[in-house]
Amino acid sequence: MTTAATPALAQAPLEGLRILDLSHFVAGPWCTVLLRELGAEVIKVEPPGGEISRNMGGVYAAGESAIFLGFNSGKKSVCIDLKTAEGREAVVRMAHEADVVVQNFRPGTAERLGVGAEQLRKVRPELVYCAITAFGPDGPYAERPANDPLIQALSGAMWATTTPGGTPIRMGVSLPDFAAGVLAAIGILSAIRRKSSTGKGATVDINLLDSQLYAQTDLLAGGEFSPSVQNGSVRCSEGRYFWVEADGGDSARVPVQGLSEVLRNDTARTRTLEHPTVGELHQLKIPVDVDPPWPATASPPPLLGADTRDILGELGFSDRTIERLADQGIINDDQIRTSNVNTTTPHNKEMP
Amino acid sequence: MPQRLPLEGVTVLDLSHLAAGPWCTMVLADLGADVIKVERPDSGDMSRQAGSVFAEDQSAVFLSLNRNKRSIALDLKDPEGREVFYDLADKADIVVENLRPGKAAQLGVDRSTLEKRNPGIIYASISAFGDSGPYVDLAGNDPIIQALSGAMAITGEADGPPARQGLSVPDFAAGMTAGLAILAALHGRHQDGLGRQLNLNLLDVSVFALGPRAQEFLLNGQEQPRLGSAHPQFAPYQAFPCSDDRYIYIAVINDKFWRLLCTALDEPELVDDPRYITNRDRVERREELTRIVGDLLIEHPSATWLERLQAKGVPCARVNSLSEALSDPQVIHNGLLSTVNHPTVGDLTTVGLPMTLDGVRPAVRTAPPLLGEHTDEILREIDGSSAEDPRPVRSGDKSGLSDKSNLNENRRMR
Repeated sequence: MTTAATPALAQAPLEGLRILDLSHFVAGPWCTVLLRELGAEVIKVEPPGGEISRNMGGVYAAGESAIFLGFNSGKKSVCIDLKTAEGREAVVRMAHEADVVVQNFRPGTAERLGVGAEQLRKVRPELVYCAITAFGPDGPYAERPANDPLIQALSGAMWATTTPGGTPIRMGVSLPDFAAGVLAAIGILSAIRRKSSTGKGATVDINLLDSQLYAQTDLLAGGEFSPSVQNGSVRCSEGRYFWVEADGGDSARVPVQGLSEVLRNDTARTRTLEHPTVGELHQLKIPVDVDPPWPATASPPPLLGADTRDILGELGFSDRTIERLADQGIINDDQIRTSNVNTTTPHNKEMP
Repeated sequence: MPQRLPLEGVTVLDLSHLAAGPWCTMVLADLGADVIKVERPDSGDMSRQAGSVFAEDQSAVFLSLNRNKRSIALDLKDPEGREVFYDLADKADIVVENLRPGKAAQLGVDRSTLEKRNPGIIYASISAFGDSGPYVDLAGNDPIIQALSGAMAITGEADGPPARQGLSVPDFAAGMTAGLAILAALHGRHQDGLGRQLNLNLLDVSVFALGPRAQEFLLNGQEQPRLGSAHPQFAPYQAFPCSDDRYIYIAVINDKFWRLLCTALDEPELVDDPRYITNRDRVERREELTRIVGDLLIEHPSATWLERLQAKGVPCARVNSLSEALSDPQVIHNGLLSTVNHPTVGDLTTVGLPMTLDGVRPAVRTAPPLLGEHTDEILREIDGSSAEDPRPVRSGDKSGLSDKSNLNENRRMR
């Protein structure tokens, strides 16, 4: 399916949208990296020391975690201490220039930090503000910590994945994070569309538990609740596993592929970015093929604070103020970071 | 004054069936788009007859993925039926289809046909494996995609065979990714005025949804084990059985939560036990740790433990069944479930859109449509409301347009 006249200078569809990203770990960064892949500018605000996912999990390259590397490509990083008055003021100024703010703090934290929806709307009335929580802004669980497996447990997903007579099984895919991330991005773009006709922004509240249930809705309608029926099973032959469909006479049999079979040398699904400390970084591409094509927006995940100086400069902060804020530890920038980064040991960084 | 829904004024022609496509168009419909579901006059969307769970004569799969949409019964193989489709396409913003590759072109409803009439049309095609390659003739159903995507290999009990994730992850993920790409294309159309062909397939989206697992492999090249409910990189981080035969999940993601867990378990000496201080220590000694924590947990019922652990701030949760999930206090509090009246099913409860805008959840406005329920209404919209008998094709058999009243009558039979 090709089109005769493809314009030479196509734009990525979300080019011109500026997202101020206060989020961390998985669901929030997954949302904003999707928006970035589609062309939005994403300015990631990180606390001194970096957002927590830089130090999460057990797989690292050049001191950067797989989780951070996986969900932050193409973003700009501004390292600012939101707990200081001047740091907060700088972020509020950044919100003034943003179309969208995304955060996934626990309920109430953004307001305490002075970056809640109502607070930012005072400087930017038409803002689209998206808050991603585990359970919602209030309610019996709102204050509790939660992450992917707890949501899988509460939602029934773990129960639905259990084999008869067996123990609960966690789905290999972190679906609560994906579901909340992609639905948040959908909510944001919908709110932006409405804004283009009404001029009004919106606060989009979304949470992992509700998003996960939406991903299970096909199992939940009609008043009966059962794991979806399988008409096949995993069988082992010649030392490897196959999924075998036992439906009618036409039996399909496909190998249960390991990650190495799916991803090794897979240039159709992956791309390679040149990361300043990691070197060649292989990543999955967004799985949408477009005609006429959108230009690629790929660049590597930022080093901590790599764009602090530039972004503050664009906002009118003088070099002297920037130096002073850096001296006071309120901001951090790439020069400082670069001199530290090589001291961390690749692949075996300590857990926080 | 009711809130204006964000996608009001957006028209979607929905040629899709079963799960991935309808999931995509449902999220658009939930957000306010006018989704016109084009269905085969004889049997409609094949999901109307799919699966094993039915309420009255309606399948759970269909009921769960088609609310807030309208249905027109239209035979696209019939020239007059196709003309109606073209008239609809002229005014539509978006077409979504998940027919077999090549089928849309065969029916004359592919993008290259439609864009001659409506150059701004955004056309999303969702297939199982793309339009070529080694699997293209395979049935792209959920477990086949899960098996090929790598998800099944990392799901299952330790030392057990791979297991299917109990949910339709590929369909959901493809539906949502398509919805996002469509909204991006709609936004981009403001800038360049161009429509787009968007192609997605279930397999690629399922690989993308591996997320952190994929990025880890792309860094270290290592396969990842199946660990039941546990996680390869954290411990203790799994489901533990309690004395009432119920499981609770404990997710100790860092050292702070480990210390809280030790306190909640009333095992203060564990806090300073050098064997378990860091997550890496705990992951290395996962088996003995599982035994220590497991022996304690099995002593008391789950309710006792949940109360005690939550009081100390330990991340934990009961492993709910699906029905328990729907009556979970937080789910009830959030008001996620929505009930609409369905003409044959009666009160139908479905999972609402999982987001609020300015504190208001977009409502489930209408029940999933009966086959062809809105055929007359939509035809009148095309031809203008004054038209008495908008199309001669309406009464003609060969157009295949359904008679709504008969349909309703039939549907009431159990």
